[in-house]
Amino acid sequence: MGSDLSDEELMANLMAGPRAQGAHEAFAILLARHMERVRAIGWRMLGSAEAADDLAQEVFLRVWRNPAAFDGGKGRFVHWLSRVAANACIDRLRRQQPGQMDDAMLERLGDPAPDPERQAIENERAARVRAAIAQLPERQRQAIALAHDLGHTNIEIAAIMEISVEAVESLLARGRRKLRQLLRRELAEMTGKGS
Amino acid sequence: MNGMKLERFRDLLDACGSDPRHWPPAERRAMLALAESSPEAAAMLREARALDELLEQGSIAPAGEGLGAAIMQAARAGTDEQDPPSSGGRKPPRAANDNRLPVWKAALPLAASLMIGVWLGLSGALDGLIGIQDDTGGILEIAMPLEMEYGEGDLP
Repeated sequence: MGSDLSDEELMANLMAGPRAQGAHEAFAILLARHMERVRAIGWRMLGSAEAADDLAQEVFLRVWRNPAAFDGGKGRFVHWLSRVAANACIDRLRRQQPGQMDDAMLERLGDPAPDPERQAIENERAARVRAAIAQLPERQRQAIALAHDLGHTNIEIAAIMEISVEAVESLLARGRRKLRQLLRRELAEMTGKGS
Repeated sequence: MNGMKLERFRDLLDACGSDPRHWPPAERRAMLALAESSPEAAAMLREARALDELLEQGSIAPAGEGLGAAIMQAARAGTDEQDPPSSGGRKPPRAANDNRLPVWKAALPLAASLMIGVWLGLSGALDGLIGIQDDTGGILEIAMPLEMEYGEGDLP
């Protein structure tokens, strides 16, 4: 099987059943193509690399066990996969105790950085960005992840989230405004407005 | 002259980000012109770019090599556990949210308790250790029904 097959063709292969010829290979190609995408969504929405890895495992095993859940007539695989990942994140967030993620983030903020000073500063800044994103409501966080981590256009995000483009713009606008407010110190440093 | 107001410029930056390729085509030219002619708009654009940059800095590092292999392994293990497909087609897929432990894993603690109970009962270890077998029934309750161990009048 060639890796030049489209995602949708590979999914058709999976739908023939897990024991069908080429099913494992098709799954391996999909995994290699899209695992980082799913992890990126998990990273933004759940706030830790460990949770992102767990999410990748959960989502891809869902794809493996139930490929028929994907309907090629309703859109591209990549959009469907992003939606499955984001919804799985929302499920996880709703199962979490209030404040659980924030505590985990604070813990990481306090972690000593193992690398040189510059790396430590960058790590700290990245941690502050993650902590700021964690304060956004779920849907805003999801839209930010799709736009910034996965580079989707607003039209694509609308397809993934199954909402209008205007609603996406509203989510992103509110999310970015809030982030500007939460990260004003970092932004001032970067734009030369800081002391 | 540019008819775009700063407020609209800011709203579009918030909604679409700092990359002009993502700006609405109908307003892109006006936005670029405003960013060139207005220091305030230029400052807003710089800040929007800085925010985009910050968000990119916080991206996740690539997964270790083991994750993909572990997922493949889990998928293979799942296939091996399944019965061969029926002649009518695919086996019904497992529900997407079905994260139950395999039956053998779920039953393991119960099986272990029973084994320990039987071993303690057979070896008489419980008598030696606590010496209150007649009052409590102890571990043997796990291994057999009460009426087999006690006479009817002994039951509380």
